Amino acid sequence: MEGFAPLPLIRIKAGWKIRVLMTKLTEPSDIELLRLSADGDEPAFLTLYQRHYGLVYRFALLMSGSINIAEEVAQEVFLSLIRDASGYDSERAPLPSYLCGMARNQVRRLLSRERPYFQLVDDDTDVERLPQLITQDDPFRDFTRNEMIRFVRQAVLALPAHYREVVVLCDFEELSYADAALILDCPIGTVNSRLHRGHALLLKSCAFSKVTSRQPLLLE
Amino acid sequence: MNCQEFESNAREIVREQSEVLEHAEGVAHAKRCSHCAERLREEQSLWLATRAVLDDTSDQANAAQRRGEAALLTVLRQQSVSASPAFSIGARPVIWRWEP
Repeated sequence: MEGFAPLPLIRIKAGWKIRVLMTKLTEPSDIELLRLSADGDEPAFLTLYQRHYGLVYRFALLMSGSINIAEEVAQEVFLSLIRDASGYDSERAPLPSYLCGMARNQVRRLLSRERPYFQLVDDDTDVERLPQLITQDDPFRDFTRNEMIRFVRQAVLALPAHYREVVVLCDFEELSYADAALILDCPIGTVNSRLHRGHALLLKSCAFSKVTSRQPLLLE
Repeated sequence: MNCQEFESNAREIVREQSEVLEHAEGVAHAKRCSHCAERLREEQSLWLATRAVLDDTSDQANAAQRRGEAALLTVLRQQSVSASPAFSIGARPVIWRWEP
């Protein structure tokens, strides 16, 4: 059949994409795994757990700045999933969004409980009022990677909570505005405006312009 | 693309979230404009820093994930045991006795 003549070439060129597609098709969906988990299927639960733990933990850690809180939140989120899987409505949001939404509520609850130890900045904080985390000199000259990571984490924590949420979801986790809007239960336009502002605040507090002269432009 | 347009798209250009044409125009503009080139470097630095933070956080997440796994599986087992009718609280097994 003449129609199949170009197939080997297409297969070679698109082989990688076909493999990815096949993997996605053969992987069980979150809903399927959740249903099996509710029936006590341990491998199904573990697959769900391994698939989404990272997102939940990282979100909680970057939002709270505390390893203990992040671990507690992630554990609590998956416990809730075991105890009441019926609380999830697949028509409202994908499972990762639902889990992140739960993590968000947990982080808020724990931070308010430990408020004396976490100084959250008020909603209308101006850029100039944010802590200046750098000196006038090149702050990264002698920075190790770990110091830089700690520095950026502090800058994220210094953001007002509603900016921090969108920065963590969109800048760090690189979720779409639509997914972030589902998690934060707000319009996409709100995510867009908060991200614009939060991103600018983060850039300003990090003041990368002091260090970038040594770095080449990566984009071509 | 002018400086104002570049400014509003700089984040997306670095993260390759912009349209192909917009991306190309942005990079071309940054090559002509030193101010926007600096702005692009800032965005690149922030992007690289966020990747480093994310990598580091992912390592911590993996360790925490392993720690939490056993406890959650225990709860899952208890949950499925208590949900099973044969073992539910108050349920008594039906024993058939042959009585002549």
